[in-house]
Amino acid sequence: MKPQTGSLPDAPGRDAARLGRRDVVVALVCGALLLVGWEAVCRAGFVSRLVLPAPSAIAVELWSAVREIVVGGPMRTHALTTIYEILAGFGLGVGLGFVLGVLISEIPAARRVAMPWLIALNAAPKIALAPLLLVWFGFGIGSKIVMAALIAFFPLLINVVSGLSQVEEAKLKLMRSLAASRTMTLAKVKLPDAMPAIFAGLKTAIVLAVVGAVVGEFVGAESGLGYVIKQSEFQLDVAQTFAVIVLLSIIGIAFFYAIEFIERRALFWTRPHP
Amino acid sequence: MLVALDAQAQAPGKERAAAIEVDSVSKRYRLGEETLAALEDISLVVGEGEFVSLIGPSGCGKSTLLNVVAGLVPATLGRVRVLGNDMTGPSRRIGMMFQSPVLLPWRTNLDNVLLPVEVFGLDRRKSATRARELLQLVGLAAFADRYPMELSGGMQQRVAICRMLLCDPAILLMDEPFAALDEMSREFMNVELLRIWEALRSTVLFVTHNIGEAVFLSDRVIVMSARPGRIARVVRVELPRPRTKATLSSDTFFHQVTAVRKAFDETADRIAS
Ligand SMILES: Nc1ncnc2c1ncn2[C@@H]1O[C@H](COP(=O)(O)OP(=O)(O)OP(=O)(O)O)[C@@H](O)[C@H]1O
Ligand SMILES: [Mg+2]
Repeated sequence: MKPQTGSLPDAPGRDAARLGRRDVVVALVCGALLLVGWEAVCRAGFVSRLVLPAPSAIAVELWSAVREIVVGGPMRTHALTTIYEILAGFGLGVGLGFVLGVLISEIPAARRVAMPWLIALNAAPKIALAPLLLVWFGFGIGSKIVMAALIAFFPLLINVVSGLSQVEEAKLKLMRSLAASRTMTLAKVKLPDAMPAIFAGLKTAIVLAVVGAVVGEFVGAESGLGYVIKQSEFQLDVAQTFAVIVLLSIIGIAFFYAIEFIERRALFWTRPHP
Repeated sequence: MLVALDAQAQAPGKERAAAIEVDSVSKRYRLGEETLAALEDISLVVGEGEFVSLIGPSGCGKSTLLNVVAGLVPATLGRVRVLGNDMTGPSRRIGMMFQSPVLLPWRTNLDNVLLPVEVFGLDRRKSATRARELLQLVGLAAFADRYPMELSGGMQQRVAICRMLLCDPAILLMDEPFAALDEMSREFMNVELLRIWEALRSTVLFVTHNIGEAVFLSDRVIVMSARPGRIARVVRVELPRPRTKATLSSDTFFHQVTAVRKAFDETADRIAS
């Protein structure tokens, strides 16, 4: 996973990845057709609304949830709780991942001691720790933040380590020829050069932080969107379950694109033209 | 005689103090179980203010020798003295340039030129004026606040020249700095480099594959042979300075190039037989 740092004027991958206007139209039309079909199936009574509610019913639930968030109400508290858990967990996990990643990359002894443990921990299903975290950190937001931090931590750590290890040899040689210290080389060359990889890690981490917070709430909570999902399941209110899932997706997508927005501005040199 | 071969050419000449002294240096690289002799018993002296080129076939150890002099690679045997001191590692009094410009894409061209100042912990403000002067000198004043990716390869190498010169190093080590450029740009850069160097008169050790380039730039050309890397011939170039574009089409230049080419071919023949 080599981060793209070159200044090639026309990197073909970028254009290919960017959606054309026609692709967007086709995607929207397909989505609309799917929704219409789904609605028709539900209206015709082929499936129970306890199994699959109609898109219109979900839309109504979503609308009331959004209104509650805007004007104030229980849903606002739940949404804010979850957003807080996501951001706090993300910050904690990413901060630790960054610091540890830099230490592991720069200090061979730290690498030898920590790497085997980290590889083992990374392979472990961290989600399975959620019940334990509940015991250790309590019913409140603490256990959710730790859960989110725990799974946001690894992608960042790994990308920091790989980003710092893939710095162009010529740049390092330049710094050596200037008799630059390790910290100087790290600050002036290695970290900026690793930024594309680090941002890729941040984007993975934010998506996982959402998963972590919601799973944490599933296991046991008294507030939050994950808690609302569990409540609505008990009440067989499947439409609300769907509405909250849509809400969580919107939150995740918003955070993801916020990071991407910052990346585009900050890493201007990775774009074909400024 | 236009070309003074070997015996007289070995010494830096006349009243020059030694800036670089390489004394019986050998370098062996370890490749797993085996060792590769990259340099074998190299001795040379470059005088203060002298411009010396190293030429030789690919893989003969030119870069290795340059890196040893730069303190980037330790010699296996022998001794290197730079400006009268034993080499212990990279020195701030040495400026380097490589085959690629190695500019940092997130820094403006001016900030790239200023990199050494930041690394040395000197005052950036004071040096910024000097950096702009240097960019002006190489014709890039208008691009100071732009980014390297907006420049052509030759322009990027000119930024690298400015970066190398910023802190007034007494010694310049250049490893095929213009090899990646087309013939026209390379010629232009050679003329530019000499024009700048005439004013500074720093000591230069310059690696190249190109005989014409070596002759045009240098006071002496050192011809190396391969496997293991040895000094085969040293040729003194008797071309008056300052040298300009006109020099390139003079008869004298042509004769000098022929002489170096002969030395080069004799070396190759000796290896072949
Ligand atoms: N770091 C290294 N480890 C092992 N062997 C090396 C290393 N660097 C160079 N060599 C070997 O040492 C020999 C000399 O290499 P060097 O790069 O100095 O040659 P060169 O004259 O600069 O070649 P070119 O003209 O192609 O740049 C080569 O055979 C090369 O394979
Ligand atoms: Mg080389």
